[in-house]
Order: sequence, then C-alpha cells, then structure tokens
Amino acid sequence: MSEPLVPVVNLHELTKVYHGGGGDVVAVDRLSLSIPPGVSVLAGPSGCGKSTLINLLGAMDLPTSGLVEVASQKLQELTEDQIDTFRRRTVGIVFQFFHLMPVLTVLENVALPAELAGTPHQQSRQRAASLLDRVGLSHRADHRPHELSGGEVQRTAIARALVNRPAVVLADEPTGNLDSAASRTVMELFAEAVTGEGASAVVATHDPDVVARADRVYHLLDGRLERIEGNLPGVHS
Amino acid sequence: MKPLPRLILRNWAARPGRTLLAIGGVALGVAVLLAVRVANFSAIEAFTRTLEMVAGRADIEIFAEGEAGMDPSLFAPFTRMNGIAAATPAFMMRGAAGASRRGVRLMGVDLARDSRVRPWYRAELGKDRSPLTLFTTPYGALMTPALARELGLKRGDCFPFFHAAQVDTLELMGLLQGEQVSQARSRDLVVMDLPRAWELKDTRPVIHRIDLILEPGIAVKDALDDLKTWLPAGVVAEASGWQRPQARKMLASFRLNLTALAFVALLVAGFLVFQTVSTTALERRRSAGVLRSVGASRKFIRNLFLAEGTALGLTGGALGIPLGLLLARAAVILVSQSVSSIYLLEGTHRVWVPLEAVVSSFLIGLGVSLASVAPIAVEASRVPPRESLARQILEQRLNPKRLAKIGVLMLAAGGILAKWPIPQFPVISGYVSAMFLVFGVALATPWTLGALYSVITAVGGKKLGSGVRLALGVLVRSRHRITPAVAGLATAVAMWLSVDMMVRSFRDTVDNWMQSTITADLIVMAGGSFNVGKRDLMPLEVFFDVKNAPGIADADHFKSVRLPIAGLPTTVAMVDAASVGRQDRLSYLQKVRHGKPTDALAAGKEACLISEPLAFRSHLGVEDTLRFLGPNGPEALRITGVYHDYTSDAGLVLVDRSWFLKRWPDPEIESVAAYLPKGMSLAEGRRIIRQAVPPKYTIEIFSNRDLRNGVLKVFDNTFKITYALEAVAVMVALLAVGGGMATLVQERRRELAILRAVGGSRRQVLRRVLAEAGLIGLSGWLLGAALGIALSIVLTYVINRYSFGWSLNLELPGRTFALSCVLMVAAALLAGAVPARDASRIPVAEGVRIDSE
Repeated sequence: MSEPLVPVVNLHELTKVYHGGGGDVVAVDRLSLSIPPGVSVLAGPSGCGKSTLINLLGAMDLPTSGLVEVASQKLQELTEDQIDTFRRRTVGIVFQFFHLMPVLTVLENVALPAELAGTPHQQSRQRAASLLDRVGLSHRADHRPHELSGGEVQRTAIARALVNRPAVVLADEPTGNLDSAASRTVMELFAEAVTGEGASAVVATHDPDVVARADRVYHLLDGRLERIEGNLPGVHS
Repeated sequence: MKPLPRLILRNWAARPGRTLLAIGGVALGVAVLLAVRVANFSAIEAFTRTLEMVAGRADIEIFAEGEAGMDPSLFAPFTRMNGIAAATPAFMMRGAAGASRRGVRLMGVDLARDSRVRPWYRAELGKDRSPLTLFTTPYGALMTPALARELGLKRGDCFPFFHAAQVDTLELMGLLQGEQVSQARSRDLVVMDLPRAWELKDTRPVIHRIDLILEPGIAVKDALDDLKTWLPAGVVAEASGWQRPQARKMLASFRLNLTALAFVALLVAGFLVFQTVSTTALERRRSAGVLRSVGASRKFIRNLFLAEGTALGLTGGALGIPLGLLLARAAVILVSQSVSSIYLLEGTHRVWVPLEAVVSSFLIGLGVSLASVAPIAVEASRVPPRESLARQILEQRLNPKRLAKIGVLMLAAGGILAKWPIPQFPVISGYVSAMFLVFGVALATPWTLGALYSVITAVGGKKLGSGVRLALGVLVRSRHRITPAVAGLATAVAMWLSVDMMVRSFRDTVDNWMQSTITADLIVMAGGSFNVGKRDLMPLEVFFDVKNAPGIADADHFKSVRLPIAGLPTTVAMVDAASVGRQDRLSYLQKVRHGKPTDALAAGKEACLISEPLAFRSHLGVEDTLRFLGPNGPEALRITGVYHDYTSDAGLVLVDRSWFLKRWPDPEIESVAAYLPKGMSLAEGRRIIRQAVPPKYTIEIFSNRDLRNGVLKVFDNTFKITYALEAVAVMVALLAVGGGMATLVQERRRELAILRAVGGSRRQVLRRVLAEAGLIGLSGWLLGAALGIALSIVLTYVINRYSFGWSLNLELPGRTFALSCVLMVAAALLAGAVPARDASRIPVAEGVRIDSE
C-alpha cells in the first residue's frame, strides 16, 4: 500500500464574498477540499468560482473567511513579506490574459521572477533560457510580447511561472484566448513542463481538452464543490 | 541591469512623448521659479551694489535725514579726528544728461581725498591728459563707461546737463574704472570735483554724505556710538551695508508677490507632472499587479514608483536649471522695469545667481515630482495583486464624494483664513488661503465634473448630439484620469482671471483716483524726459511765477523728501495746503470732524495728512500723532486726515509749504499744478505759463491727460512680468490637457477600434475625441472662473491690502471672462487635435486585439 501523498492544496470552509453596488456576490461558498500532487483541474461554468479560487490559492486576493493551505503553508498565518516570498518561491501563476511586461523581452520576462527572488543575473538568464528552450521559444528570446502570437505569449508565461521551481503552478483559463490548435500545443507543453520540473498544477478551465488531460477534476458550481472525478490517491475531499 | 532601473528606463523608452511631457513640466516649473527668484535677487543686488559703489570702502557713512544736506563745516573735524584713517565728503544732485535727457545723479567729491574711500575713481583720462586737468577744467566731469556708451559720448565731448530747470554744459574728462564700477554697472552716475558741482547748483553749498574709513583696530560699533553723541540733530551715522536690509524691506512686498506668482506657475506645472506621472503610474499599476503576482515585494513596488518620480524630478530639475538661467535674463529685464518704475531705482540687466535659489528650485521641482507619485506608490504597494490587475477597481476605490468632502473642508479653511488672517502673518495667510482654495477645487473636481456633466446632459437633453452625450459619458467614467488636466487648467485660468481682475481693478481704481485727485489742468515740471518718479527740480520761484500769472485761476506745487517713518523710507511732501483745501480733490478715508483736514496745515500748525498705506502700516489715524526724525530733530505732527493715494506703497505725508521750508529751506520743487479758469483752452494756458516763467528756466508743461497716461504706462510696465508668468501657466496647463487627451485615447484604443469595427467613420471618431477635448476645456474654464473670482477676492482684499495697504474696488470684467472662455476652449481643442487625429487612425484589427497589457 502506498503512503498517503501530502496534498498540495488544503481548503477548509473557504469563503470569498465580493461587495458591489449591485449587492454581495458569494464567489466561493464554504469550500473544503484537498488537492493531491499532479495536474488537477477546476472545472465549471462561468461564474462558478474557478478564477476566484485560483487567485486565493496564489495569495492574489484575500479570503473573506476560511483556511487556505498551499504546499504546507497556511496563508492566513503568513506576514506580507512571507506572502511575497510565497508568490516568488512556492507558486507560479499563468493568467488567461498572459500579463507579460510589454517593455521587457521574452527572455527578460521569464527571468524576472528569478531576479526578484535575488538570483544572480547570469543564473537567472541561464535558467530562463533553458525554460524557453523547453517550451520551444529560444528563437524568440529577444522579441517583445507584442511581436508574438497568442500561443507563444502563453508559452512564455508558462516558462515564467516555472523559473523559480515552484511547488505549484496555478493557471487561470490558460487557453481561454487561444485557438484550438494553440490550446493543444500550450497544454501539452504545460503538462510536460510542469511534471518535468517536479511541480503540481491546478488549472481553472472550462476547456474540455484541458479537462481531459487532468489527473483529477473538481467540478464547481456556484462557488461550491459539486463532484470530483479522477484519481485521488489517499486524499479526502 | 537590475530589474528596477531596467523597468523604469524601458517604460520611458516605450512612451517617450509622455516621459518628455512629464520631464518638461518639471523643467518648466523649475525654470520659471528660478528665473523669478534670480530676477528678484538681481534687483536687490543692483540696487545695493549701486549704493555700495557710492559708499566705496567706507566703514561708516554719515548723512542728513531727508536729503536736506549738511553744512560743509561739519566735515572739517573728521580730517583731524583720532581713529579715522580717511574721510571724504560728497554732494549729490539729480539731473538729466545728454540730448536724450537721461536721468542721472551727479556726485561732487573731493577728488584729492576721494580715492582712498572710492578707489574705483581711477579715471581713465586718456594719454594726453594730466590728472590735474580734473581740477583745472571748468565743468569737467567723469562718468561710467556704460553711461558714456548710452549717451554716445567719448572723452573730450561736451554734453548738456539739465537741472532745476537750467542747463549747463559739462565736458567728459574721463571714464571711471574699477571692479565695483563694472559690477554695479550703474549707468546714472556723473562725478565732478566738489567745488565745481557746487557752482552748478548755484545755492548755498551743502554736503550730503561723509564717508569714513576707520583706523585698524577701531570697532565700527564703538565709533558709531561715539559719533552719535555729538553729531547734530538730523544727521545720522550708519555702518556701511545698511542699505541692503533697507532695500530688502522696500522691495519685500514686490518680491513676495512675484515669488508667489512663480510658485503658482510651478503649481500648474505640478499638475502637469501629476497628470503625467499619475496617469503613467496608473498604467504601471497593472504592471505592479503583474510584478506582485510573480513575487515582487511591496517595498519593490513602492520603490519602483518612487524611483521613477525621483528620476523624473532629477531629470526635469537638471534641465530646468539651465533653462531657468536662460529665462532669468528676460525676467531680470522685466523685473528691472517694474522696480525702476515703482521704486525709482536704477534698472539693471545684470544677472546675479544665488546658489541658494538654484539648489532650492531644483529641490522644489524634485519635491513636486515625488509628491505626485507618492500616493499612487503607497496605494499600488498595498492593494492585493488581483485588484491591481482589474483596472476598473481603482476607479471605484477613488470615491469622488469623499474627495469632494475633503475639498469642501479645504475651501472652508481657505475662506476662514481669508476672512480672518493670522495677525502676525497676514500676507502669508492670504497665500495659504489661496493654496487651500486651489487644492480644495482640485479635490472637488471629480465630483464636480460628474455633477456638471449631469447638469449639461439634463439641460441639453436631446438637443445635445449623440457625440457630445457619448463624450460626456466617457469623461464621467474617466474623470479621475482627466482630473489633473482639468484642475491644472482651472488653476491656470483662475490665476489669469484673478490677477487680471486684481490688476484691472487696481488700474481702474488708480485711474479713477487720478481723475478725482489730479484735477489740475496743466502740470509744469523741469525739462527732462518725462518719467514719473525721475525727479528733476525747479526753483520755488517758478511756482510763484505760475500762480501769479494773469489768467491762471489757482496753482499748487509738489516737493518731497524721503525719511524713515515707521521703518520704511516714506515720502514727506510739501503742498500748498490752502490750495489743496480749495480744490477739495483728495478722497478721504478719515478726516477731522470739524472743518477741512487741510485747515490746520494752512494755518501753520503742526499738522499733516497721511496716505492710506502709511496709516495701514503704522496703525495711525486721525487725531493720532505722527512722529519721525526731521533735519532739525524729532517732529510730532497731528494727523488731520487719511486719504487715498496710490503713488507709493510706503505711504505719503502731506505738510504745508511753510512747515516744510522751515526744515528744508532749499527752495526747489518737483512740479507745479496749474488750474485754468472755465472756458480757457489748454493751449492758451500753456501760452500764459510760458510767458510767465523766465526763459532761463527750462520747463515742460503736461496736460492732465498726459500725466495720467504716463502713470498708466508705468503701471502697465510694472505688471509685464505678471502677464509673462500667466502665459507660462496657461501654456503648461494646455500641455496637461494635451497629455490628458493622449492618455484617454491610449486607454480607449480598443473601444475606439471597436467603434470603427462596427461602422463608425474616422470623422466620427475624430469629432468624438475633439468633443471630449472641448468639454475638458469648458469644464476647466468653468471651475477656473469660479476659483478665479474667489482668488481675486483674496488677492485684492487680503494679499494686496496687507502687502501695500491700498484699498481697491474689485470689478468683474465680463469681456475678459468671455475672452478667456473662448480662448481656453479653442486651445483645448487645439491640444486635443493630435490625439483626435491619432484616435481616428487606430488600425481596427490591431486595436480590437486583446493584448497582455
């Protein structure tokens, strides 16, 4: 019998409420789950809370209540500086709208998190170059984001997310703005790169191709967990 | 290169136009501030160096109060006194030299003794002249090279010298040389041997100053204490250098007003910088969100913004300093004209640059940049990354109502401070009040824009085209982005309108005052180029010649001296009190209850009238006693009236001729006012006067209108630099509008591209963006007009009042308001033309694409 795997994500009664002019919106409603290592997908229709959950896991936003634990770090117990370190070292994020720095080259964009983490310049560049090679963009290292296609931009974002060897890569609709061919390419690379770097991935998506590649799928509806599909080795839900 | 500087430099390179705009705004503000401060300093320096040039190396200067002069016998003891290494007398008189009748001061000195005190009197006589010729040549004179050049004279030339309605011919013997001469660049000094100068004057000899150099080891203070025990009443001894604090005091109000104007120009530039930097920072906010999402710390984000603000401030300041030094030359000339006109001082084109002004102007520019970026730096570093990435969230976080409440509080504070200024600092209170008003309006701008646009939409209804309605909608949504541009424009408009209102009101008040006060039909002055304040004197006989001339209904005269009263050189003027009473031309704020204020003066009593500024500054009124030191000792005059007068901010004291001549018996006057009988033409009056005054006296006769026009010309000259600063402020504000429009277009590229994609034409996009620019111009003008009225009240009733003591009648010039509205809207449209053109040319396919930023 295999030993139970340490979950990469643990949530307990997690809630996020947005207060707006039109009334309060409960984006995540007392969600409790554990996500084991591997590639996990958060699926569901628009507005089910997938993106909100990704933001909470990446400490991009603060929960209204409940507990968030990522790679054994309880986010509520972290100071601001520790959260910054968490975002540098523990997670990497891939956004739907890419969010690259337009004034930096592809290589500089990928190296940026490493430089922010204090990695020496040469080392950062070397690491970035190797990741670009992995995602097939070495020939675009000196280009700016606006010179790339959508798929190339997203591959750059994937490389950037991996530069500091995070434990978890979070991706919010990574293929949302790509055509189907580019989506397939990107997701193949994403899965290969993530597992090749020894990281786990949590991907929010409603793209069936992406869902099909996941180790497990968490179906969300109205901010709550509806059901889980797939391989859940020794982990409760 | 480390990430932080790399990000800043790449961002600058990506938007060079906007970066240059921000740097340019700082540079312009710093340049204007430095130029004005250099001009102020140069004015003081020119004045004091001219005086110091006259003082030479003297440790102590002895002079008579009130320009009366001292008996020459007073000098003799100093030549034998222990402790005095050198002593020399000097005599001063005013006149006009050359065919152009250029106003000059003639100084008669003991040429044999003088060189020890004034070593610059090394006159260059020329090779073929012996130094003895200075003593042997009748009416030989020396002058500075600058004056000789101006008069077109060379050594050996003869030139006319006009004085006291007479003219003598002098010969230019040589040119004064020395470092102090070139430093002072005084053009108005002519030097003669003392006895020869006395001969010109043709009255009893007097000396106006004695300059002493003490023996080494003798303390100036001890020497002064000793002198004061035996010098006669009315004769004063001061340590040299006493003029500088006096000059500073005299010019204090003038300099403060100019510096305040320069600060307003810097403030407007600050809005431009804030506009550009904050807009850029708002864009960077999204980048800040990205950076935080990949692990940048709060400190890194804060430092990123602050570093960019610092870099903008340093670059702008570095460019602004040399630009300011270039502008300083023009500013010095403008200020010099004003100072000459108001304070009768020698103008200068020399530029003195104090290091303190350079450093502080640079630091102020840096401060403005940092202040612009600091709030955004703090905000961007604190919000969760998700909010930074969501653009709309920031607009929701900036609550217009909350800002407006703070704005209203500031407006209230400004109003309270204006109504009840701090007694010890009334003028500063006025400026602080003005600042509160400006910032209050700026903070209330977002809410006010929303309200204004709602009103326009409600009132206009369907009559407003869809383009205008859409433009209104865009501006309301983006009001936080355009607020700095609107606020900057409003501040510039307010400055223009308020200063214009104050100046116009001042001008109209002065003009009305002149019409009621200067009622003489003809004014007789000594021959010389007319320039109010450049006094040339006539003998008293001219007054009696005019007064007694057949056909002249009445006459009055004017002669004045300057005495220190209540801490400032104040004009004490001799008038014919009976005539003043008969003409009843003075407008009184206060007067004695019974009889006319001039009765006591005409009766020969110890009484006087004082002008409003003097009453204000000395806190004296009717029935109070005015005390000062005259040539014969302490004087105490009962004040019988306080009257309106705008000729001097230091104030005037009017005394009767009989009282005046007992103290200053030298019978010379500055002007004679002649009143003609009803029906007599001015030409006839001139003829009668010319017949009555002996031909040996060279006189000029001006009509009432000539005099008023001359005064108004001087008045207009004094405000030239004010208008120049206004123009700078308006120009900067328009740059802000252009920058604001460029930002709006950039932000809405997708929206405008989508508009084209669904069928909108280029012309429609162009018109829409132009409509937005026009609305920004109109909004800025409306806010500026309201603020301008408030500022004009503060300027007129607080700042001007407490600076100069004058009361003015504030008027609202409808024409200026209308003109400024048309100009501002037109200029805003012009400023928005390029962004509108760019908007109409956005490539549709590229524009609709979702970018990573």
